[in-house]
Amino acid sequence: MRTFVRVAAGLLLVAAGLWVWRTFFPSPEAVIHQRLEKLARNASFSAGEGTVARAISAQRVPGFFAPQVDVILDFPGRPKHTFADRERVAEAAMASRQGMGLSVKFPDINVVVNGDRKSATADVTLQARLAEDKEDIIQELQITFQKTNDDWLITRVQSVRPLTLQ
Amino acid sequence: METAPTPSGSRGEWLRLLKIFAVGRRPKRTLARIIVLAVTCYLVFGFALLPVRVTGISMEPTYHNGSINFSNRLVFLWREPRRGDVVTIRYGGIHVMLMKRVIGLPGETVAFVHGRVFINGNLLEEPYMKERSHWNVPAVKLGADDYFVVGDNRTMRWQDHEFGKVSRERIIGKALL
Repeated sequence: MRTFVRVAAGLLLVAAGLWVWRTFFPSPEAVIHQRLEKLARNASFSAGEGTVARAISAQRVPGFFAPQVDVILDFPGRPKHTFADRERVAEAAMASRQGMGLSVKFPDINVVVNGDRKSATADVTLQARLAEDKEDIIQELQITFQKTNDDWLITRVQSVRPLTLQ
Repeated sequence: METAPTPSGSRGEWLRLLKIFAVGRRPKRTLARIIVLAVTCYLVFGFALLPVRVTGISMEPTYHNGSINFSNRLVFLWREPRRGDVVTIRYGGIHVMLMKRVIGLPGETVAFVHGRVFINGNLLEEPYMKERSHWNVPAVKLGADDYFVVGDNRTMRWQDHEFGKVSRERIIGKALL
């Protein structure tokens, strides 16, 4: 019994050590994961949110993007959107606040950091819903990150279609 | 000589029964069983049989919006997808997936003419279809690693229906129910 307790305590100690290490020294994958989750939170807003709160969260959205960013969104049944710089992203984020509400989630995030440790690509599933819509918009996105001044910024966003007719 | 149980003795008996009910007669064995059950559930429902909730109407009338199903990931370890299989297709991962029916296999040519499906120029019988559509989609040639998938609900406009060519690596599993 004593051996069992010692082993269990040892395992707990190792797990706690790992948790502390990961909390204070997160891997680039974990940092990008957290940034995408934060982006989703800032891109979302509800109908009950005040104008000021909406504006503040919208102003945070461009901070996740590099000054020169390519955003190419081509969702089935919706007009294609293309942005070439961060200012357009900011405008789009503010414009989206005119709606009734928007929920953005990334239920799947797969991050691959390149060998240089300065760039990374994330394959994510976007699940978004406009308050006035009945169905979610589901789309795969390929997001490219670049590490600039210890910050991972988005340099490219492109929608990916799993099913094609070509 | 018989004695009636005292109130405190009766409470002790209840506590004993409650303990047996909660952790069994042998708590260590119960704990081991709980651990085995939890690990088994985690492995089965986390990797082998993924629980899925159908949303949308693209697989009507076979699968209704809101119905529950499982994606069997093991089946395609032993064999490749076949025509007629209802499969789940991943996006960026396996938390949100598409559910479609395989109608075209690698190397084939698939076309829709007035709602009828032609594979390499031959009409495909589709007993699962309840209502015919009027879709006209030009022929699509599939590569060596491609499958053609489509929903069973062809009453909607083809422009509003997500279907087409998908690579094998995106096909995750087969609908169980």
